[in-house]
Amino acid sequence: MGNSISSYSSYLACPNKEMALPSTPPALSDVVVDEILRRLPPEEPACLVRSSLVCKPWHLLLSEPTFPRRYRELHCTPPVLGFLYNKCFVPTTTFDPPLFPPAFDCFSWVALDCRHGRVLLHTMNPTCLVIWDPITNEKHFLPQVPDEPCNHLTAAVLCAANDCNHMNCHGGPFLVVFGCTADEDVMGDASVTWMSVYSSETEEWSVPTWIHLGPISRSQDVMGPSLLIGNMLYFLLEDGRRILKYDLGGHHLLVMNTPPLPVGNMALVKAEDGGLEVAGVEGYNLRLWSWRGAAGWVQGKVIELDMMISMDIGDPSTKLLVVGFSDGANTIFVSANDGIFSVELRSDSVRKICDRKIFDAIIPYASFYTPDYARGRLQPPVRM
Amino acid sequence: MASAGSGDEKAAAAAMITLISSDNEKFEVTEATATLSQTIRHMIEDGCTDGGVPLPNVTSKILARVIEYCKKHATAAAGEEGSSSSFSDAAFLEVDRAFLEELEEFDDAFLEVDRATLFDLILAANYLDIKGLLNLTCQKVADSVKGKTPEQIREMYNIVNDLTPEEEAEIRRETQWAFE
Repeated sequence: MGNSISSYSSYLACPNKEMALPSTPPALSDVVVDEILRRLPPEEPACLVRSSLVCKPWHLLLSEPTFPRRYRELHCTPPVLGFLYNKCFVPTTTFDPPLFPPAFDCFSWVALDCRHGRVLLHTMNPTCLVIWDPITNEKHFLPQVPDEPCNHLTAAVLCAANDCNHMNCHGGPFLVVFGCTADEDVMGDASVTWMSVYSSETEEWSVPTWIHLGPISRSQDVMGPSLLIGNMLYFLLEDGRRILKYDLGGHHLLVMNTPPLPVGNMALVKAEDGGLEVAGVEGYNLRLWSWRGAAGWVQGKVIELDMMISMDIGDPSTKLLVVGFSDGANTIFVSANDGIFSVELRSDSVRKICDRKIFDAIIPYASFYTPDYARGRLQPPVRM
Repeated sequence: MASAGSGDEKAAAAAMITLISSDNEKFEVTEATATLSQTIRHMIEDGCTDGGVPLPNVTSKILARVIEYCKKHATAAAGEEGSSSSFSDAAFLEVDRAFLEELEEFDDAFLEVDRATLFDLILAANYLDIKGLLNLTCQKVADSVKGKTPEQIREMYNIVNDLTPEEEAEIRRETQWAFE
């Protein structure tokens, strides 16, 4: 197999009665081997690398300049290769591509967001926002954010290219949306919330947009993680008591309520039809609620996690916590006593991705890792 | 298994095509079944099917399996088209789901073949340009490669390693992480 270079047209010419058509080649043609190689699983990038060592024809097919693009187009959804947590990249693959966070000259850092192949980090002392590309290991330091009152922050990174399918845009222009709330502790009488957008093309922060949210509830996360739908960025506020909606086109801020789900245990989710959903754990079930505009929140799919994750039902120590969502991979992450599980929303398939017990928010990293990425990283950067 | 047409099939679908395998066995199939193959669809469009379609690349054993696949999937496609107006949305979705589940079970059972047959099916699917069958069979091979070392893959599929030791060392040097 694979050693035959011959390939033949799949379109048969009009045969006359006696004419014989070309005979079957003894081995699979390159056309067919290419079909097989393109179907290797993206969630295990080592498969592509190992296959390139099988024989020369396989290596040549995998090295074709058009192969990565065709591979990505066939699979469409980038797989989650790991997540950022506590200054580490925790891989979820069997064999881990070299995706190590960069070394920083700072006291500490946290990952705030990840989208379209870029990770947004926040360093402390000195305070700075940094875009890190795990594929190329490039870092981009952002200028100081607008000097406005702030004691709770959040931020989102997104591709700024027009008409992009986000399969390979990690080197292109990007936006960073930075949001802050200054609560009553800072402001005295009433809280304020503002957002500003950084563009990598203009290298500037926009004039902030302001909103008054009224009294801020005591929360672990006043300004939570974001979800991008079209031109709208949604942020979970006050552990899920409210949602902040930012219009990237018109720079408007709006506040929405959330569905009746337990506070501190939910995630914003993009529905299959492109609408806004909120997922939350209630008991042993993952419940999804869909936003239907004037009709408000409508209860949707329920995924019975106890049917898919082994756990001690009724044991008070059994804990289930929504810890993240990857809009690239359309996957919710739920922590259980046993480890972290991914819940893929298109197929409802649940898979254990990590044995570690982590009951904090994680930042999932979704990307293809095609042969063009795998090459050219001869020296893995220093592991932290 | 020469005759595929059954009495209750619609008249429109009853146009029959004869396929002739490499060992000269004749298979009579409906046009709806045959046209899952883009290759045969083009031949029908060009009016080149009188007297049968010779397929010297496909043995009778493999052609019988390919026709089995096409019949099942052509029936499913016809069922989906026909049911759209006669059911409410919910009932339609239910029927849809039942169809899909049945097809999935059929596909799983269909793939229970030895490797030589699987390869013959891939070649036939490519030759006849049957996208669903090509996807199904290629995915089966791709899934079997998952988690295997290059040596295991070569052994599994009788592939001769024609990379020079230098080339092999070069690739390994660039991608050491995939082997650790």
